[in-house]
Amino acid sequence: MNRLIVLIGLCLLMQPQAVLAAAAKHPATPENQECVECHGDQEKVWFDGKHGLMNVKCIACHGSTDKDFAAKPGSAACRGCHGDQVAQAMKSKGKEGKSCFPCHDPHALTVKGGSAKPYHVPGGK
Amino acid sequence: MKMTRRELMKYSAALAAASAIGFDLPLPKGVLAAAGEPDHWVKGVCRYCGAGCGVYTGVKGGKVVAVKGDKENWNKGFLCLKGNFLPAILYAPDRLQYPLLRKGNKFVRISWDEAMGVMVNKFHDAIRKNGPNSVAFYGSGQAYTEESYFVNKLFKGGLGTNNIDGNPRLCMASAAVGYVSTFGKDEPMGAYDDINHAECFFIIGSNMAEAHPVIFRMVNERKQKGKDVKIIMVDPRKTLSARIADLHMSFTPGTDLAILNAMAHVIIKENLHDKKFVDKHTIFKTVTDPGPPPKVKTVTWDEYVKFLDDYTPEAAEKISGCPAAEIVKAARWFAQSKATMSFWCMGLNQRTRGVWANNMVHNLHLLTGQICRPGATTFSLTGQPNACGGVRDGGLLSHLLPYGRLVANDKHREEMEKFWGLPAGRIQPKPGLTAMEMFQSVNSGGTRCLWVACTNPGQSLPNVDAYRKGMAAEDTFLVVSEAYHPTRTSELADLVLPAALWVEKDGTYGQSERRYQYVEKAIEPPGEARPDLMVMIDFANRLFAAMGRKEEARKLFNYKNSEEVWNEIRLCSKGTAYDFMGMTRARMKKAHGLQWPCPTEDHPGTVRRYTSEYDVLVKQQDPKAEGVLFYSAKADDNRVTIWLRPHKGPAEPPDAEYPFVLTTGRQIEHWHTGTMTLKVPELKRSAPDAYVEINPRDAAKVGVKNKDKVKVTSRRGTIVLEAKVVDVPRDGLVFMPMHYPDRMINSLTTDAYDAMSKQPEFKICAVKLEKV
Amino acid sequence: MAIASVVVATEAGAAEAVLADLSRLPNTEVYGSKENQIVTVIEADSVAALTEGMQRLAAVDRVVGVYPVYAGADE
Repeated sequence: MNRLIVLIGLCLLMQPQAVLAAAAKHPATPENQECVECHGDQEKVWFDGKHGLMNVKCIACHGSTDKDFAAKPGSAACRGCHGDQVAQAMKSKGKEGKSCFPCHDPHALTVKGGSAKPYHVPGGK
Repeated sequence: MKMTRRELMKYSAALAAASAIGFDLPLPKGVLAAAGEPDHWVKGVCRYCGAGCGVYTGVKGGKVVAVKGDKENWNKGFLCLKGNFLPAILYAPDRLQYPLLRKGNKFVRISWDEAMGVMVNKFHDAIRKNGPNSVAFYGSGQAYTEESYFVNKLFKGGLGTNNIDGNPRLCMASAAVGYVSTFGKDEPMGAYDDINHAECFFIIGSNMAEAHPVIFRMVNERKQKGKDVKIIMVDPRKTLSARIADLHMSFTPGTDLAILNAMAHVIIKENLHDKKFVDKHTIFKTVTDPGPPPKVKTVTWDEYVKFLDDYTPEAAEKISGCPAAEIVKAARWFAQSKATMSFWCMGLNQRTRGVWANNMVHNLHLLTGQICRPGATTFSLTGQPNACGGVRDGGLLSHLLPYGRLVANDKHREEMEKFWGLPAGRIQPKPGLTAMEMFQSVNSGGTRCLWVACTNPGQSLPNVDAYRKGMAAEDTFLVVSEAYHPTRTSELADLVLPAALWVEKDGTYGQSERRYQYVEKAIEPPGEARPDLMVMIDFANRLFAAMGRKEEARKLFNYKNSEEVWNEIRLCSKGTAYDFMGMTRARMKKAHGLQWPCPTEDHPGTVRRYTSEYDVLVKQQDPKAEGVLFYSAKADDNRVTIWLRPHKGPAEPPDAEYPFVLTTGRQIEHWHTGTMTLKVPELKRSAPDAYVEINPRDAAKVGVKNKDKVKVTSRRGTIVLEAKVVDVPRDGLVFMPMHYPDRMINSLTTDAYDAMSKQPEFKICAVKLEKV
Repeated sequence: MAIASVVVATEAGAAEAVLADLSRLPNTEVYGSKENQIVTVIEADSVAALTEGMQRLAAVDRVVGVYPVYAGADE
């Protein structure tokens, strides 16, 4: 038990870059305010893309503006429809790691020029 | 949500670590946390619309923590926005866990034993004093087939009353009567697969992009991949679906029947019809006297052509406001494409002339021979996940018996009495109360006991306030089986029974394309909630014991689980046009849905009906038949009916006092009365409240800007809500979504209904707008 | 039965990659991350065995630090 207290004490001393900055929270908004009212630029790119046509709305990736808000969603958010692609990308190795957005434009979802070879089978169809 | 001690310790430990780095730890059921994979995945079907997407629920520690689309099913792994967030509906804070009994203005928790006791007493009392027709059941296209079949057997076969109907009366009745009056039997003959072969899509009265998004996806894919695929969209709103339309036809609400007849007129005048097909497979009929009962006369091709003489495109333009040139273009594209597929939904069904509208779409396919080939078919989209399987096919509606049988048909009654082991004459020949009639009967006191299961009429009935009064009144004992409390219906109940929801119970769902699918149980229901099927079996046995009919109950109501009911159901379908004897539970557990007919265990299911190449029942009827055979229309020598239907407008068109048309419909975020989707924080944030959609020109006339408060009034009620000013609805038309319990648009809608289908005209009523 | 919560620090930009690897380790649960720091909880048969668990965390590719915050036994 003593060993543990020492251990904990040590680690608390050793907090490296434990910057106690606020997590990326969304500012409070009235219920009837739509994302597009502030984020028109992203919304336009999204609307013209595949997700826009298929009504995969902002919440699908970003959650609501409450506790579950995610400014930069992880690939788990994509799993509902793109389970295969997410699983394959998570498995493969790559310098950029396992987020979808090093290769895919976050709102148009198109593959960015200069991306490395695909980490998964093609989507759609 | 219960945590074990260990889970609590782990969470607390994590909390300590999280706070050390200034990280806001999400709740254990955080949706987007990149936590570990579920322990296992359970195959099932989405809880929402009639598209019926295959899904897998991911279970970890006895909870559903994720969903993913079934990539081996027709939806190819895709889900819509709602399906994506399914897990949260299971854990909403207002899940009902115990039976509740009303005591004055309050609800008191009671035991199941007590609840059953009270319910049996009330029903038995009513039956004893006023006969079996004084009790009724209002069911749902969201219940499992096994549940609907069982309760249908209880009421029609056990109690001998036909006062059992369901909420598909409000959404699909016109489509069902449309198919039966044209083809002889219900349900589409085609499949989603036809989308992959179609060259022209005719989409009318449907906002697929928001109401059936994954089917919309398939249509869009076909348009992208195919060569010169044309999409015609007929809708007085320029919806999100219209984004992919090559021709969007707007018209005055309620005048689309004129357009459909005008298209037929053009097809014939320009000689684009398939006379050989018409001569071989069709017969022409008209109603000379509406009755009831209606007097029907068979007429000739020449008489049909003459009937259409007045429906020139110019005449239709005058009636509908839709340009004649567009009508002509649509007719030519429809007739001349290599394969034309039609889709429609509530825009045609929720009308006082819904059946006629359905007949007229079928007419176009029959005139041109655009039917019974890959890509050529007339396809009704269904709203609920099991309206087809459980209510239409299963025969729960008050005029039906299972699998294409009718209470009014002597032979059918005899068949079911034999099958269920009932004394001859037990099943009543007269159709029972339909939904609107049932709630009128609740109002008048004719119905003493009403059991409502898995649906929310306290919000979804048209002209709803008129019926809420009756439901709340003391002279009807109202039992509501629900997963949530309060809903706008359970709040009026005398007894509320907690129901297992979705994957907390197993059973079968049948969606729009005749695909029956098994939903496997994944988790336990909360508290004392039970699957509706087990409650129904329990109630039936107790009621019959109280009535001194224990022996009979032992014969009729002796099932231990849903599989036993399913096996009886399969047998009941044997030899009918539905015949799915081959869909054993074992097969259904493995398969990704199977389409009926599926008569044997080695049969792969049927993609297309009524054609010998795909439908085994064709050769069963006539071993020599090649190509198309409408065996559904045996009464007319296998000829399906082209009905002469005139144009007729809506029951309540706009006038000087109420100058706007109010139409109602759906948003992609929500489903039906929002009891499930409004509990999902993401969906609620994206679509938090009702609004009235007005186009900018009308908004200027009324003097409102976007987000201004508007008072919308009909002859039946008034609501204040925010305006959404967008150039979507046609001039003179406003739209409101149906999903919100606190602003019920059904306070405004009309309960006028189609004389043939008894389906109400939710889509059109007259309102006035005032800036608040 | 002993548990410990541990903050796992990763190379810059490697959080997603490490997250995925961590979630595949036995008796390891990931609760989320902030920038390059991941909140993890590990279980073991005894408090002594927890050290093994932490070594497993440290051995994961691109992990630069393992900081236990809480440890305790479930009697």
